[in-house]
Order: sequence, then C-alpha cells, then structure tokens
Amino acid sequence: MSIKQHLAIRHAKYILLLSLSIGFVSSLIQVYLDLSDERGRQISEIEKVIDFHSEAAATAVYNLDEEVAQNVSNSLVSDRRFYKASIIDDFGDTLALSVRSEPEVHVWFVQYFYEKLNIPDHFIVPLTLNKSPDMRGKVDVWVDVGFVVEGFARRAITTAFTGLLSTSVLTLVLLVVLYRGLSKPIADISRWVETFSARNHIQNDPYDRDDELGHLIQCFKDAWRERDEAEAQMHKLAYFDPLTQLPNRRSLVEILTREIDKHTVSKTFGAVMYFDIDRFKTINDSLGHSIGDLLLCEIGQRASEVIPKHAVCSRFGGDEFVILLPEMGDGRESCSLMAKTVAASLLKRLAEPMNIEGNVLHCTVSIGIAIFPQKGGDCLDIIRRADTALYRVKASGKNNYQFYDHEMQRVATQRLSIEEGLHVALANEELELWFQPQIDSLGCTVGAEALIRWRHPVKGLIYPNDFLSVAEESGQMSAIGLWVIEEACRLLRHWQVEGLPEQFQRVSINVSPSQFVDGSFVQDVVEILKKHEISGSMLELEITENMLVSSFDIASKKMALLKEYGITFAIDDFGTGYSSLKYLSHLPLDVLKIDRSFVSNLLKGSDDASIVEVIIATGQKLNMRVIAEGVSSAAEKQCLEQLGCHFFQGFLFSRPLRAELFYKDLCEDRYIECSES
Amino acid sequence: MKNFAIAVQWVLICFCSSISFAGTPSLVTFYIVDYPPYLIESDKHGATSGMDVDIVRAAFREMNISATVKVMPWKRIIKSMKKGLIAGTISCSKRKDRIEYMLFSDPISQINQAAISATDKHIGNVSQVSDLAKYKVVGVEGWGVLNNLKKNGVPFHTTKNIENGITSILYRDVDVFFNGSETTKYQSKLMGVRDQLTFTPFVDSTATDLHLCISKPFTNSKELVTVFDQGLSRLKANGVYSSIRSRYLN
Repeated sequence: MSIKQHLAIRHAKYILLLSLSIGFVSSLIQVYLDLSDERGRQISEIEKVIDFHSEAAATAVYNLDEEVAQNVSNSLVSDRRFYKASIIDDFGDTLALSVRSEPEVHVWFVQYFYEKLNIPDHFIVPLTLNKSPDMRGKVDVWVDVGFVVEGFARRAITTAFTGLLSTSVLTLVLLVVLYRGLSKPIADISRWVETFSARNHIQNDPYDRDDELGHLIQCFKDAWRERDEAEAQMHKLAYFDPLTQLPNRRSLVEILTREIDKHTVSKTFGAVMYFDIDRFKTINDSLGHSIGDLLLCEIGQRASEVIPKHAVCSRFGGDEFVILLPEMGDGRESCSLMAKTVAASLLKRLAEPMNIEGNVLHCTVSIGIAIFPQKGGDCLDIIRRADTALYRVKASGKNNYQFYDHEMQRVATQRLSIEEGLHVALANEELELWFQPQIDSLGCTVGAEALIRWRHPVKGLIYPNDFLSVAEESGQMSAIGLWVIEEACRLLRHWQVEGLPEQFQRVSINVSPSQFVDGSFVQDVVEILKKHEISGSMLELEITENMLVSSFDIASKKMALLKEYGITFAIDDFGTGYSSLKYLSHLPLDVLKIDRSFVSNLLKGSDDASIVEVIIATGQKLNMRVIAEGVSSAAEKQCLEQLGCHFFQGFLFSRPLRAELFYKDLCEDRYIECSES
Repeated sequence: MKNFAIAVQWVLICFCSSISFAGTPSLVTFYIVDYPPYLIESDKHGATSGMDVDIVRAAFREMNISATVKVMPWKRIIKSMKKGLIAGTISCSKRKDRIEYMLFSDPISQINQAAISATDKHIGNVSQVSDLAKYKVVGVEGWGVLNNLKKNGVPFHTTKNIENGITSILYRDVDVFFNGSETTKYQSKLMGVRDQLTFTPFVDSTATDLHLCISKPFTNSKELVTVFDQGLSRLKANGVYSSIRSRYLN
C-alpha cells in the first residue's frame, strides 16, 4: 500500500484542507470584523492621545508659552503614530511645530489595509482656553497612517500565519495521532488477519485496548472461531454420515483413491467390502424409519468394532456400507484370506440379535468383496466390482460373502440393462399380460393365472424370471405389480362386456411380498376394482408361503380387509416354503397351489404323491380349493385326480397365452398349445 | 484765592474731561499678571487688587469710567495688546520694543531694584549693581530687572517667583535676590519673614516707572490714556493716590 493510501495520510489531507479552508474563511471574517473595530479603536486611541495632551496644550496656548507648547508637540510626535504636530493659538499663529521624518512608503499589504481602514491622516482638535468659548486654539496632528495600519496589517498577517502554522502543527499532530491511534493499529490488525488466515489459527492479539478496534479484533476472532466451527461442521457434513457418524461415500472414495496409489507403489494389496442389510426395506417399512435408523447405527458400530483398527468403515447410503481394508497382504491370496476372515467375522457379529427400542431384530448382511489394486481399475471400478459381487450374494440367497470375478461383471451389466429398461417399459407399454387357464376336472376353464411378459424392443420377449427379481431389487415391483392388477381388471371388464363363459370365475394374480406389504396396497386394489367395476370375487391374489411367515400380522390384516371385497387368496408354490399349519388356519386363504416340483412326473405311491396327498387333505380340511401347477401330462393329471385334486394348471392344457388369444380360446372353450410369438 | 484756583482747575479738568470723554467707553477692561503689591490677581476676597490696580480703578472712576481688571498670562496680554484685542495692562514698564504697540500713561508707581539678602548673612558693601558679581545672585525668570544684571555683567540664576527667591536666600546658598524691593517686601510680609531680610538699594540703579499701558490698536486708545492721566492727576491732587500707596507699601 503506498503511503498516500494510508488512512492517516488521507484523513490528514482532508483535515488540513478543511482546517486551512475554515481557518482562511474565519481569518477573513476576523479581519473584516477587526477592520471596523480597528478603525474605531485607532481613531479612538489617536483622539485619546491628543486629548491627553490637550490640557497641556491649552495651558501653553493660553499662556502663549512656546516652550511648553513645543514640549507638547514634541511629545505628540514622539508617538510614532504621528509624524507632525502643531499647536495654534487663538490668534491663528503657530505656537509650536514638531515634525519627524515623512512617512515612509509601506509594502503593498499595508497600503491595502491603509485603504481599507480609511483612518484620517489629519486630526484637528480645538482647544478651549481658560474655559472661554471665545478663545479657541487648536492642535493639529498628522497621522502616519501607514504606521498605524502596519501594526494591524502585521497582526493580521501574523494571525493568518500563526493560524496556518497552528493548523499545520495541529494537522501534523492529528496525523501522528491518527497514524498511531488508527492507521497503525488497523494495519497491524490487517497483518494479523493475514497471518492467522495463512496459518489457519488465531495469533496473539495485535491490539488490546477496550475500544472500537479492540471490539473489531474480538469480532474477527469470534467470526474466525465461527468459521472454524462452520468449516469443521461442513467438513463433518461433507465427509461423515450424520446418522451413523461413519465416514460417508465421499470420504471413503478419497481415502480409497489415496490407498490405491500407495498400494500400487508399495506393491501390497487391500480389499473393499461392500455390504448391505438383507431385507432392510422390509424391516424399515414394517417397524418404521426410526427403528431402521437405529438399526443402521448399530450395524455401523458393530462393523467398526469387527474390522481392523487401520480399516475404514463407511456408510454409502441407505443400508449400504463399504469397508476399506488396507495393507491386507503382499499377495492377492494372502489378502483374500485376510478379507475372508474379516468378512466371516462381520457376518457372525452382525447376525447376532439386536435389541432396538425393545424390538429384537435378527439381521443378516450380504457382502461383496473386491481386491485392489487392479490393473486399469480406479477407485470407482473397485467399488463397482465389490457392488457386483454383492449382487451375486443377494441372488445366491444372501447372508454370505462373495469375491468379485469377471462373470459377475457380465451378469451385473446385464442386470443393469434390465433395470434401466424396466424404468421405461411401463411408460412405453412394453409389458403384456398373458394368461394360463386353470381347468377343473370337467375340463372347464374356471379361471386363469395372469402372467407378465416384457416385450423388449431389442431383446424381444423377456420372461418374468429374467426381470422380476431385478424389479424387486430396484424398487419397481410395486409399480409393475399394480399395473398387472390394473391390466387384469381392465381385461376382465372388457371380457365381461364382450361376454365371459359362465364357468369362468376369476383371474389369479401373483403379488410380490414387497408389493403386498406396501402401505397403500389395499387402497390401490380397491380403487382399481371400483375403477373397472370388477367384483372382488373375480380377483384372486397369489402370495407366497414365506411372505405369510415373515409378515404374518400385516398379511392377515390386509387379507381380511381385501376379503371384505370378495377377493380370494391363494398360496403359491405351496409346500416349498416355511408356513405352519397354524398360520394357514388363521389366515383367510381360499386356494392352495401345489408347487410344480411336486407335480412333475408325479407317480402314485411316490414321496411326492404323499406330499401332494397331504396338501390336498390339508386344503380340504381347511375348506380350500387345491390347484396343481405345472401339469404337463395326462398321467400327472390322472394321478392328481386320484389323490383328490380337481383343479389343474399347466402345459397339458395350455401354455400361457396373450390376452386376446386366451380370450378367444376361452370363448371357444378349447386350449391348444400356442407358439410364442 | 486758593479755592478759586482749585475751582478753576476743576472746571478745566471737567472741560477737558468732557472733551476727552467724547468717544471713550464707559467701561474698560484691563488685564494683569500677579505682581504684588502692584498687581494682585486674587486677594482675600478673590478679586483682583493691588496698589496699581486700585489706583487705575480710582483714576478711571474719577473720570466716570468703570475699569475692570482681569487676570491674563503676560504673553497673552502682550500679544492681545499687539493685536488690539484688549485695552491694555497695568504696571508695565516703558521699553523701546513696546512703544510700537503700547501707549503709556503717566507713571503710576515705581520699581526700585535692591539687593535683598538674609539679614544674618551680612553681605558686604554693596552699592552698585556690579558689586553683586562676587555673590551668588538669583532673579525671577523672565523679568526685566534681570537686564540690569546682564548689563552689569553680573552672573545670576533664575527662580520661578519671588517666594522662591526669598526662600533661596533664607534657606539655600544664595546670597542675593535681585528684585524690586516693593514686591519683595510685600511677599516677605505675606511669608512672615520681613524682618529676616535686608534690602540694599543701588546708587547706580534708577527706579523703573510703571505705567498703565494701553494697546495702540485698541479703539480710542489715545483717549483712554488721556482720560486716565486726568484721573490720575485728580487722585494725586485729592490725596487718594497717597492713601492707596500707603495702604500697600507700609
């Protein structure tokens, strides 16, 4: 900063200019006022001096005493204001005359003030002699006006000069005071701010007085502290998960990136473990988000306890966690062994029951593991591989760990493609409902199972096994499930209008567990029924055994509500799940569907036949209809009939057909195998 | 016979007076300085008086003219007389330089110069003015009598007034106070030291006459002089003149 920019200098300039201006104006005013005063004063003083001598002059004149008169006139001119004096007697004769030197020529400002003051240069004072008005002498005095004025002029100049000098001195003093009292402390404070800004911590105070600057410093310090706290908070928010206090995705990515470089240089290996909580959504939806959050915190804490001290456990989002295990070995094998150990410990620890707000939860996790560094792979690649391995675990039954390999990548890529395609499938009307008839012993079509197909614009027809799991995992199942119900009801209504055979009673629709436990499922179904003016009795919902077991309370309540609308319920794939007979008796079930695995190649007297027989007896006892799925031969049908099953579904009667084809066959009351188109 | 002569004188005087009265004012003012006993600017009554003043008043009174006497500084008197602004003054001596602007009356009185000394000092035989050369002499500053000292080569000092002169011979180291004896006697009487002084006349000093001096340029100045002289004669004839003098000089 140049010296001109200093506050003190700038202020001093202003003060100087202002002081000089004010001083100049006030001096002018003062001089102007003094002029009139000075004129009066000078004239008064001159008259006083003359008056002082008047008595002596009058006495001298009366006595015609020349000597005394001369003394008086000499006395007058001894006053430098007068350069000539004479005393005239009453006879008109000069009694005395005294002359000093002629007035000298004065400098220009004296001449100027001489003109301005306008003091007479000649005074004539009458003398009254012996108190007689008839005898009058006079005193003549000539004034050296220049001398008189000079004093005033010099005083005016001196006043102006001293004013200027005092102003300058004052300005200088103010400059010093301002510099020392203001500019320097402010400069010190600026340097102080720069210093602690660079060093990132507060230095010793540059100013310790209790005034505005001291207050300013305190404000800086407070603001800096707040900034520090805000930065710390921001850092925490930016790099840590607010719920679990674990490092977040961003933090983990940065750490992993650094570790990859370090491991590349040191030629050591580490591992990334990507895990999530199995069925977390179910837990979250059923017990509430607050329980779900506490569960996540518990998971995070347990995971942090299990992993090595130098490892990093982070929460990636939702119920997903990523653990970074650095320095796990000099070779891939040793690293893999260490990672397996950690993964096993993690599985074990996280499987232990958790008491969350009085709820005892049994959780499992699925872990995908990827080793690093990998050739050509960066941080995100490694995380993606671990994620891919995770999905393999999920697909394989969960509650396990899996190392990434290349095949997984292919599957993961394909899965991603399906997931992305599903997002637009509904909007693009790529989904279709096919129907497989359900036949009674008399060969009548009493119902049909609605089956979803995806007519992909590139891949062609995709079956539910290839995309429903992806839909379930990607959270699209509810939308797809609702569409199935909506489409089924629409078609039913259309068929009703067109005409349905009397024996055709219902359409059966598969409902996924996630769809069923959805909070709005009942309301959605009821609205669809009303919208399409379909009786609930024409709708049958197929649910799995395992869903009943895992969500018994919710299932029973929803089933009861839907039952009020006449909707019937069938247990799909009965015999393959974990349902208990007690659950069966307490639920409003209408149909047991024997899983195809028991029907395939069914022979009388076989173990499967025994199971089928038990299932049929159970159904009968519980007043449920029993339908056998996957009937593909007449022998199977015959055996089933012998065992007491009178309702069938399978290729023997018909493959699943497109809706219009199904309806056509339904109306014609015949079923042939239709080729897939 | 004697009575007849007196009567004739009265008639003549009256006749002359009547002639002289034509054009003369009935009131006239003269100005004096303080020169006792001749001229006293303020007596015990606060009025001007003095031997010569009384004589002048009396003389003009004889001629039915009222003469007022006022005080004025000497130089002013002279200048005024020169200008004809005042009638004149009293008790001034006749000098050549005054003839130009003054008319002089008959003598009213005289000044007799004397060497005044303290009686106890016993100054030596002094008979001539020049004898004073061996003594320390003072005279009143500015007075004409000092010319006599100068003329006779007698060194002298000056003093402010008669009183100071008397004091200087009594109490200072002054031997002789050169002044008129009449004025000095009068002042010493006032001072109460008359008996301490010795007055030594000079054989070579003649008395100086004192006149009524009229300003020549003053209106009817000549008539005034004539009238006064007539009046003065009457006073001398009827004895008033002597009585006035004895009142002041004894």
